[in-house]
Amino acid sequence: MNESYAGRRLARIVVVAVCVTMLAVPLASFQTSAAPKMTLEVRETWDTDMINSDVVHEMGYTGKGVYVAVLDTGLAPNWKDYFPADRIATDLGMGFREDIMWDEESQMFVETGIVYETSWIGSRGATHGTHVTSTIIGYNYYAPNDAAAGYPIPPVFVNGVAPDVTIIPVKVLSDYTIGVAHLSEDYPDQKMVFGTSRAVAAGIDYATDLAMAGYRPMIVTMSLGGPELSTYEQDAIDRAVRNGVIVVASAGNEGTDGMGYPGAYAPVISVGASGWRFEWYHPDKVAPSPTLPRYRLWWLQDDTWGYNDVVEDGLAEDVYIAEWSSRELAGQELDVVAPGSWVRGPYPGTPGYAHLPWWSSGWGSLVGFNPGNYYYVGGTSMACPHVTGVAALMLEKNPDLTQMDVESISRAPRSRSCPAPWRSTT
Amino acid sequence: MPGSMEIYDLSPTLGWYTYSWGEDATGAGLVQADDAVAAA
Repeated sequence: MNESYAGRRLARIVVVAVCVTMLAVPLASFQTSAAPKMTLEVRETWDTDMINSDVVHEMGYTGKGVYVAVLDTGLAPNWKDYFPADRIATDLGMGFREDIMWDEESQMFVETGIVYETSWIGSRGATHGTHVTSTIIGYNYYAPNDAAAGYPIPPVFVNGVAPDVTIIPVKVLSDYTIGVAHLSEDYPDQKMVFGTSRAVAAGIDYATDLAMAGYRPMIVTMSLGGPELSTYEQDAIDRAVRNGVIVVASAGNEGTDGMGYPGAYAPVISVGASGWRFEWYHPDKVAPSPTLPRYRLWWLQDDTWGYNDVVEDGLAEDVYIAEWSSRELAGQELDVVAPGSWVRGPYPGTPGYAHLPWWSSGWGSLVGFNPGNYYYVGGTSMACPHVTGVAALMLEKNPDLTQMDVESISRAPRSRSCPAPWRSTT
Repeated sequence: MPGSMEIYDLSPTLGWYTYSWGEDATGAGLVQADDAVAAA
């Protein structure tokens, strides 16, 4: 498959691609038999520890009463395997798609200009939105392979940043088949996941309409981006902000080549990606066994082995910014960073769900082999929902906060020493 | 600060590789939920 061919022919489309780089570390179950559901122990992770959302939960703020429109790939068909059903507003879920067509004159694919409504349920091959959602509200987790490696983890609920928000899945990134086989016998048709500016704008407008209808406070979170800001997106964002909707977006994964849009648009709260220097394993600690790689548990807060606690006093030294996290260029504005390298979460992926958690009642092995349900995924796509969750915690306390308020507070000095202000390297 | 370390991964390479991170960075800094909620 030649990806550059379809990509070249799509150049005139303002493609809103998924901002994500992925490290595939499948650690899921080979056990597929269903079992009764149970009340799971709630556990924190390195990323929630790093931003202290667990501390805020103890203060009584969990995002209750706040709506979050997740503009992404929708939720995986088996989303109930991961999320509490009452946290997903299925009655408000929506999808938007704009088809593309081949233009003989320009010899390019172009948008049709017609956006239509689709389901909020995503495909089995595009579960990015499921992972993003999991960071906000948390997810069910169990991976017997961890036990096989010497780290017995019981079924747990991995806590989210704002576990009590109401998620509104809005699918604006869809599966496309780019038909190029008729152009050259050297290239087969290609399957891609992306969205158009009009589809993204329609998603933003939809969330704004809901907010104006009374579903508020409302946050629009977008772990997506493209090389430029269309007037459709800009108008939709401006309308959202005017009507009290909080808009958060990922900065992009282009490093010093600059930020993507809409994240780089000044009114949007943009989020870069950070990581923890002691991820994978702590160099000062001894593994339970020399034969067992410690990376298996570094992401989960657990005192059993005593090496996976993020030390608050060490944030300035222990937190790094991923080299692929977009830096701001002249005219761009990066507001804040959050954990994005690497974040564990459900990522069922293609071709199916062969390794469902044992308590789930999904499709299991009926679909065929699948390397895993849970992946470490890295990207500003993963950082963005952390800030969205924090914004939800803020809005629960003060529902009247404006976009400017949330951005200003997010940029304010911290009470503890954090990574130094970013300096442009270009 | 920039750096790197060797990590062991079971998949897909079943072996050790170098994981590196970039130089300086961060916009206004790392988000802190407790500070943000206190100021909200």
